[in-house]
Amino acid sequence: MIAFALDMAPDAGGAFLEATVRTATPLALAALGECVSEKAGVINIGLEGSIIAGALGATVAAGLVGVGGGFAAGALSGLLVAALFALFTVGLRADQIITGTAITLFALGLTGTLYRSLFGVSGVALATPTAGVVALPGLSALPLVGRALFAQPLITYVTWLTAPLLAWWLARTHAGLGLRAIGEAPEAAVTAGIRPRRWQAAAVLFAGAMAGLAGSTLVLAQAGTFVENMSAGRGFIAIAIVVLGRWRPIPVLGAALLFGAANSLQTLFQSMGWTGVPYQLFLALPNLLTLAVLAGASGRAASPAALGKR
Amino acid sequence: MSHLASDLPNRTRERLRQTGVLLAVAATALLLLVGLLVLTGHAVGPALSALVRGAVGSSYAFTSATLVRMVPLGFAGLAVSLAFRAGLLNVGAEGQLLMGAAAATAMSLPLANVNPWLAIPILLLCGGLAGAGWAGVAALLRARFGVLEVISTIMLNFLALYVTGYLVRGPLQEPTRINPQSDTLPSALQLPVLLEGTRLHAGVPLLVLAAVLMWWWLSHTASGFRVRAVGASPSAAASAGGIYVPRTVMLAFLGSGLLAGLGGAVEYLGITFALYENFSPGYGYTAIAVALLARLHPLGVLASALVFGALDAGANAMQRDAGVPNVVVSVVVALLILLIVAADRLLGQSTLTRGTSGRPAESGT
Amino acid sequence: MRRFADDGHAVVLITHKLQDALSTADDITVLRRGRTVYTGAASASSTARLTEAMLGDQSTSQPLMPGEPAAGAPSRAPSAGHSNAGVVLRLENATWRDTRGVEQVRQASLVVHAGEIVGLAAVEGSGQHALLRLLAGRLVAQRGVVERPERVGFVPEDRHRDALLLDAPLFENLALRGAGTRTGRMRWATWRARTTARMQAFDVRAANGDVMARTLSGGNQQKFVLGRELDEQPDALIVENPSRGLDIRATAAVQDALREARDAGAAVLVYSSDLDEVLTLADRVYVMHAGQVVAVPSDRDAVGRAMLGVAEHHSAAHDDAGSRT
Repeated sequence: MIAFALDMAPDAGGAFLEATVRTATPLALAALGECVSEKAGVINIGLEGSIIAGALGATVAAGLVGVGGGFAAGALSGLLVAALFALFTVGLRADQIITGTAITLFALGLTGTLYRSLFGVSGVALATPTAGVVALPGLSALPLVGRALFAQPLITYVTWLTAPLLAWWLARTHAGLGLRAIGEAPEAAVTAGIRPRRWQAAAVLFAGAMAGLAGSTLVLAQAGTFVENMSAGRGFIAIAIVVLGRWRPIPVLGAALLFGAANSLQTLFQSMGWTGVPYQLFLALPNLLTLAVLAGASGRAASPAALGKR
Repeated sequence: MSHLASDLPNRTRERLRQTGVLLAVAATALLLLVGLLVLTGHAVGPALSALVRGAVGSSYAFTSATLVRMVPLGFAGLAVSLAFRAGLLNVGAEGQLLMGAAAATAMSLPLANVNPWLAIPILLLCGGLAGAGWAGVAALLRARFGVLEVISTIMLNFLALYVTGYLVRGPLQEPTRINPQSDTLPSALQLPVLLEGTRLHAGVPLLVLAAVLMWWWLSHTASGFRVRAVGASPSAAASAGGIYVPRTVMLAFLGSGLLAGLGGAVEYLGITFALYENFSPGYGYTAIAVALLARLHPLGVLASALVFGALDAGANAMQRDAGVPNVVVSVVVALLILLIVAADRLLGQSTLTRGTSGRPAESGT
Repeated sequence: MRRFADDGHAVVLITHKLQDALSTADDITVLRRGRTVYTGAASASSTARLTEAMLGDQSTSQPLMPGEPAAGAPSRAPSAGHSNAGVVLRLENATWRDTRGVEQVRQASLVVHAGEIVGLAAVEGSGQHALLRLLAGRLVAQRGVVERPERVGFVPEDRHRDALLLDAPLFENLALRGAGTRTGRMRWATWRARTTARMQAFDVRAANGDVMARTLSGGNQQKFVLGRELDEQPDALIVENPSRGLDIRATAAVQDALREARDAGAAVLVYSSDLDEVLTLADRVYVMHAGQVVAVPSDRDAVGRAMLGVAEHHSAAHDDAGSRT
C-alpha cells in the first residue's frame, strides 16, 4: 500500500507516516499513563476528563507563558482531575467505573464552561502558540521515515523516551515491582509491607499528568486551538491501547502508533485519490479498532489480576 | 411475629433518610451553581431568575420547554435505570437514542403516505428496535468477549454520531442538499399536540405509560424479579435462584436500548421533525444523573426527568436572557452524579454499586 | 528451602502434609485448637505419632455442642444400608475439571439414601466444594454419573455471597429460590405470608418478613436459608459448613433442623471443615482427599487419617512410611 502510494505521490507515504506519529503522540502519552495506573490495579475511565482538562489548561497557560508553560499547566490540570478521581476511588473506595464516568462528564462540562466564559460564548476559535517541530539534523532527511521519526515536536521525542523508561522502571526497580504487585495480588503486597492505596493514588496521579500532557499535545502540537470536547473519546481509546499493548509500555507505544495510523488513513486515502469514502468512516476507525481490540480474546488473560477491584 | 402494618416505621424511616440525602444533594448542587456563576463573573440574581422563569415562569415555558425536554430525558432515564438495575453500566443511551431517531427518520420516507394510526406506531417500533440493536452490539461484545460495557457503549456513542453525520449528509439529506439534516417530517406523521398553542405532544403520556409499565414489570413479574436479583447479586442469583445470569443480563441490556431508541423516535416524531447532527444535546449522559437521582426507580425517573427538564429549559433561558453559557448546568449535573456516588459510599448504601463489578466475565456461571 | 536454611536462615513451614513435614523439617510442632500439643525432632517423629497429635485422643476431646454424644462413646460402624429407603443422591466415577484444567473431583463415587445424614469430611482444597455443587446441580460433571432428584436444597458456605440478597427484604429472598424458571406474576402477598410461616417454623428472629436480609444476625440468616431450602420439602438437602460463623445456640438449632429434615425423609449431605460436627451429625461418613472419595467408619481416628491421606493402620506404634496421595 505504501509502495502504491509512492507511485501515485512520492510524498504520500512519508506524509502518512508523519501524520501517524504525530497523531499517535497524545494517544501514547495517555496510554502510557493509563498503563501505569492499571498495573497498580486502577482503571481510570476518567482519563478522558484529564485529557480535556489538560487541553484547556495548556490553552490558557500557553497564551500567558508560552509553549513550555502550556505543557506544564496541562499536566497539572490533568493531574488535578485525576486527584478528584483518586479521592473517590482510592480514598472512598467508590466504584471505579461509575466515578470515572462522572468525572469525565464533569470535566467535559467544566472545560466547556470555563472556555466559553474565558473566550466567548460562541466559542470562536482562538489561536495558541504552537510547539515547533524539532528536526534532527541529517536523520530527518531520510526518505520516507525521516520526517516521520525525526522531524517531530519535542513532546513526541519525550514520549518515545518515556516508554522504555517506564518499561525499565516497572521491570527493574523495587518500586516498579511493588506497583505491579499491588495490581496483581494486593494482599500479597500488603504482606510485603507495601501500602497499596498510597501507591495507587500516585499511579492515578501520574496517569492524570500524562493524560494532561496528551491534551496539551492536542492543542499545542496539533490543532493549535481549543475546541469543546476535542478529546473525542481518546481517553477510552487509550484504555484499548493498553489492552492491545498487553500492559507493557513498549508494545503500548506500538499500539498507539497503530491507532495513529488508523486516524491518519484519511490523509493517505485522499492523497491517493480515493475520495469516495465518507470521512466519517475515518473518524470512526479508531473507535471500531477499539472495539476490535477489546474483543480480542487473549486480552483479558494478560491483565493485572486485581484490576478494578476495590 | 409482628403484623405487616407495623413495619411502616422501618420503611418510612428509610424513605425519610433518602429524602434527606436528596435534599442535601440538591442544596449542594444549588450552591455549586451559584459558585460557578460567581466564578465566571455573572450576576447571580438575574441568572437564577432567568433559570426559574425559563423552566416554570409561564404556562408556555412549562409545557413547551420543561415538559417537552422531560420526554427524551425520561426515556433515556428509564433506559439507564433498567440497565443499572441489572448491574449493567450502560452509558450508551446517547447513541441508542440517536440510532432510534435515525431509524425513525429513515422509515418515515417509505411510510409517508400510510395511515398515521399505523405508521406512527411502526415508526416508534423501528426506533425501539434500532436502539435495542445498537445496545445489542455492546451486549454481544460483553457476553462473547467480556468487553467492558462502559467502554463499548461509549465507543458506540461516537459511532452513532458518525453514522448520523454520514446519514444527514448522504442518504437522508434533505432534497436541496444544502443543510446537513434530513427532510422535515410530514405533519401527518407528527405526534399529535395535546394542548393548542403549545409544543406539548403525545410523547408525554407515552413516557408516563412506559414508566408505569416498567415499574409494574420490575416489581410484579418473575422476569422483572430476575433482573433485580441479578443486579443485586449475580452470584446469589445464579447459585440460590438458579437464574441463568447471561440471558437475564442480555434481556436487560436490549430492553435498555429499546427504551432509549424509543425516546429518540419520540423526540423525532414529537419535536424535532428532522434528524441532524446535534440531535441530542447530551440527553443520554444527563439521563445517568436522572436515573441516579431517581434511585433507579421507574416512577422516580418521571419526577427526576421533570427536574432535569426544568433545569435544561432554565439553562437555555439563562443563556438567552442572562448570557450564562448553558454548559454551566451540565457541570452541575455531572457534579450531581459525583455527589450521589459519594453520598452512597459515605452512607453505606449500595443502591448503585450492587452487582456492578467491572468484570462481566465473573458474573454468571 | 533446605538450601535457604543451610545458609543460616530460619524457615517456618506450615502444612498438613505429613510427608512434607517429615522429609523437610528438622523439628516438628503440632498445633491443635490454638495450643501446642507436640514438639519434637523430625527424626524422632512418626506419621502415627503426628496423626495422633493432630487428631487428639478420644478420651481428652471436649464436647463442643449440646446433644453431641459423650466423648469416648463407641464409634458407629458404617450402616449396612437402609433397606427401605432408596438412593436419592448418587455419584459414580464423577470427574470435574475447573476452568484452569485442574481436576477438582476425580472419579468420585458416593450415595446418599433417603432418611439419612451423610457426612463429608475433608481438608481444604480436596475438591469438596465442587463435589457438593455437582450434586446440587450448580456444576456439570464432565465425566461419570450424577444422579439427583428434581428438588434439591443447597445451603452454601458463603451465605452472603451465594445464598442471600443482602439488600432485599426476606420475602424477596424466599422468592429467590426457583426464580430461574418461574413465569408470570409475582404475588407478593402470598410470598410475604409464606415468609412469615417459614420464619416461625425455623425460629428466625426478626421483626417481620419485610426487613432486609442484611439486618439479621448470622445465625438467623442461616436459619432463614435453611428454612427456604427446605420450603417445598426437597428430596435432598446439601449443606456446606452449616455452622460457619454461628454461635453455640444457632449451631445447635441448625443441627437440629438438619436432623429433622432427615427424620422427615430427606437425603442430607453435610460437609463441614469441623470434624466434630461431621461426626456428630452423620449416620455415615465419607472422606474426600485430593478429589477422591472413600467411605470410612465414623471413627475419629479413621476419618482423620483419611482426611490427611494417610493409610489405615491399627497400631499406633507402627510407623507407616508410605502415605496415600
